Amino acid sequence: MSWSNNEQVKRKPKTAQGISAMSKDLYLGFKFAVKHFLSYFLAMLGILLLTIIMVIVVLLFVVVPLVLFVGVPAFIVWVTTFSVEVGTLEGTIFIAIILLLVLPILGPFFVAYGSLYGMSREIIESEVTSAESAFSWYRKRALSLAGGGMIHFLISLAPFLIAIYAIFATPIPIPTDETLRMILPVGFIWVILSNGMLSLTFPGIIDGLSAAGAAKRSVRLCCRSPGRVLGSWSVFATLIGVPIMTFLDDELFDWIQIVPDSFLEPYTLLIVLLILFIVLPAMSITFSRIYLILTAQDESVYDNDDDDSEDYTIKLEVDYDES
Amino acid sequence: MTMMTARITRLSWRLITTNPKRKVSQIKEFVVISDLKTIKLLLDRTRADIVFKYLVNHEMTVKQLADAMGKKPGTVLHHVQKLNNTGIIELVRTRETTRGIVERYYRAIAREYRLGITEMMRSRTKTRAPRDPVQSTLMGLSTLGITISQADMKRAHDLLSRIMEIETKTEKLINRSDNNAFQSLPTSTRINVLKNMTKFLLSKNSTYTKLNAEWHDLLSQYLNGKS
Repeated sequence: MSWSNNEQVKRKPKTAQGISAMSKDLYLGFKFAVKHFLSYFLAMLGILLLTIIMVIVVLLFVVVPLVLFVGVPAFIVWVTTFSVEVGTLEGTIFIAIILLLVLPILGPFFVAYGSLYGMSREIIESEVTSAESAFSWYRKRALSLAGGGMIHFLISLAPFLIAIYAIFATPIPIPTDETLRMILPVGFIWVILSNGMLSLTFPGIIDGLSAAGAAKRSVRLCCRSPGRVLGSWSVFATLIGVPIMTFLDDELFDWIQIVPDSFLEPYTLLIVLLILFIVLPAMSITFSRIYLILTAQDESVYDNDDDDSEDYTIKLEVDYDES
Repeated sequence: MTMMTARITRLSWRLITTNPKRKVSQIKEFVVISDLKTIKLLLDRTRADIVFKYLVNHEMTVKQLADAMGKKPGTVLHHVQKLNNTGIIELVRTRETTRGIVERYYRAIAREYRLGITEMMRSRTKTRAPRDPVQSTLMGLSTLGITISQADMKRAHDLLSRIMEIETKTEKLINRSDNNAFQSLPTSTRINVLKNMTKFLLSKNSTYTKLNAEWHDLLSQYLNGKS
């Protein structure tokens, strides 16, 4: 026999909700990124070096056996012919060849970026991290992080790849700059939206999920709390995207140039450094934090209050003998 | 239940301090680990300390574990994730501190872990059961000087078959796979309980007693010099 406490007091959760939750996520992201600036700076320099070495190793794995097999002069001729041939390829083969060349080169960069999330996870869970821990995540989650990056990459580019395929495969006219100017904003929205929905993929991989599992969970968590995830993502997309688009001279991107070129140009170096060493770490910290909170709510292991008191019921146990 | 038919023997108040919305299961008394990968995982000193020294006693965060063990939180986090993935420990709650840190509290799934090496070895060793256990038992008796004659062979085979059939059925009644409490007993205890209870139930089975008496009579004849 049991009953719940009749005098339950409706306590207002002390945890931030809605917009205030998002602003708290962002504030803490930047706060910790600035606080751990040196760790991130050293880690990123080290990882950048390692990544360049990895890219060279990946290329060597392809180039060395070829050179040994066919000889240097024949290899040079082959590369020249290949680049001309690729230009003439159409449809599926063209896309496949491009992906085959681009993805192995991008792989190490995805791993490098993902290992930042490992550092951020340590910060958000224990407030401590060190530059060398990035290498530990780099080593332990390399394949999954590369996979996660490729999922981001392929999903973001999927409509563009389909468009390229359609242009080559069907007799539709190649779009003019005028048409592209109209199509591009749609593609731009897709890139922002799809990457926003996948923004919790890397924290998921760091949490031990596979690349595909983490991507699925990211989409599910985003659908459950779209405001918090996409809201934070929009802030970072603006902070990173606006300066980059401003620096692009192509007329195609004129429509997005919110800030005049002349205003940002003197600060180019500063902006690049800020994006690399503050904004990117802040983004990884913010999304690691959002991931930990949303997954806890998802698994019903989240304590709603900041203090130690918990919801409780008073249960009266009565043992009796049936006679 | 009415007041006429029930007699209240004990009244007790209990304050349940866990959030009723949580899905976290209760800590088990003990768990038998017979998976080789899990055993290997626990052979690492740091991981063994995390589970047996700390998480069987309290729920703790990575930071608390790192402080207690004097290790880097990153190192502890890697170990905790491995243990969590294999299900030796579980995430029990997540709490946000005023400083914005999101603390994940982990706890061992049981107060005590026992290594089921016997079971593991048994499952790994491919022992071939005899095709006809009755026939092989009868043949095996010859090693003790009891050679059943061709004339008695059919009767002996029938008796032993029926005895073994009843024994197997009785054992199956006790050794039920859905009885988790029984299955989680240490192997030696489980075998002892199984033997003891089977013996008791068989002693209450009149058919078994009768068949056993007939079998013992036959054996006695051979032991007394029948050939």
